[in-house]
Amino acid sequence: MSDQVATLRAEEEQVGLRFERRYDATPDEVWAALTEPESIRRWLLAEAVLEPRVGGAFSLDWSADDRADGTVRASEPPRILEADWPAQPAHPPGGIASDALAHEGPA
Amino acid sequence: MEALEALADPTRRRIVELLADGERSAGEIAAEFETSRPGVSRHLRVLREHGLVQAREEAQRRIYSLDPAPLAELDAWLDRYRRFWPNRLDALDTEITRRRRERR
Repeated sequence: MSDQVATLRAEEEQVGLRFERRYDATPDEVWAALTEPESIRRWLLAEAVLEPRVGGAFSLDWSADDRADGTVRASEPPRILEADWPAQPAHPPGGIASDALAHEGPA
Repeated sequence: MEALEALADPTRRRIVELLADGERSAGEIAAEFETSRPGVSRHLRVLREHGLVQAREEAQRRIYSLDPAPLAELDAWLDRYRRFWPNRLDALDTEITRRRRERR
C-alpha cells in the first residue's frame, strides 16, 4: 500500500471527492478483490451483486434500509473496472475505478 | 447537497473564491471574468438562491459577500466521504493481502 490522495475534483458539471490508492498487487489480484462477492463483503461491507460488463448490475446491500442499485460503466478484465452507485437517503453516492498496469520483470 | 450543486460550475467556484477574500461589488466581480455582465449576474443569482452569497445595497452599488454557513454544511457533508473511503481502501488492501496469503 502506498500513496493516498484525496482531492476535491470538479469536472465539468460535477463536483465530488476522489480518493486514489495504489496497491502493490497484480491486476488479477485487484480484479478478484474488487469483483468477488465474498471479498466485496469484507472491504466494502456490503452484500454485492456485480455483473462485470458495461451496463451490468452493481447492487450493494449494506443493511435492510441501506442499499443501492448501481451500474458497471467499464469492464476490461483484469485491468479496468469502473462502477458507481447513486445517492440514496441512507448512503452517499460512490463508485470505484480501477486501472491496473502490469509491470513485467526480467525473465 | 445544495451548496455542491451551486459549486458545479467553474465561474461560480471562482466567484466564491473571490468573495472568500472579502466582499466585492457586482461590478468588481464582473471585471474578473470575460463572461458578459448578465452572465455573471445569473451566476450570482444562483449563488444567492443556494444561500452561498448575500447581497446588500450601498449607494448605487450591490455588494456581495460570502455566507460561510453553507460551506460549513458542505464540509460536514464531505466529511462522510472523508471518513468512509480511506477506511474502505485500507480494508481493500487487507483483503488483497488476505487472498494472497490464502492461496499459498
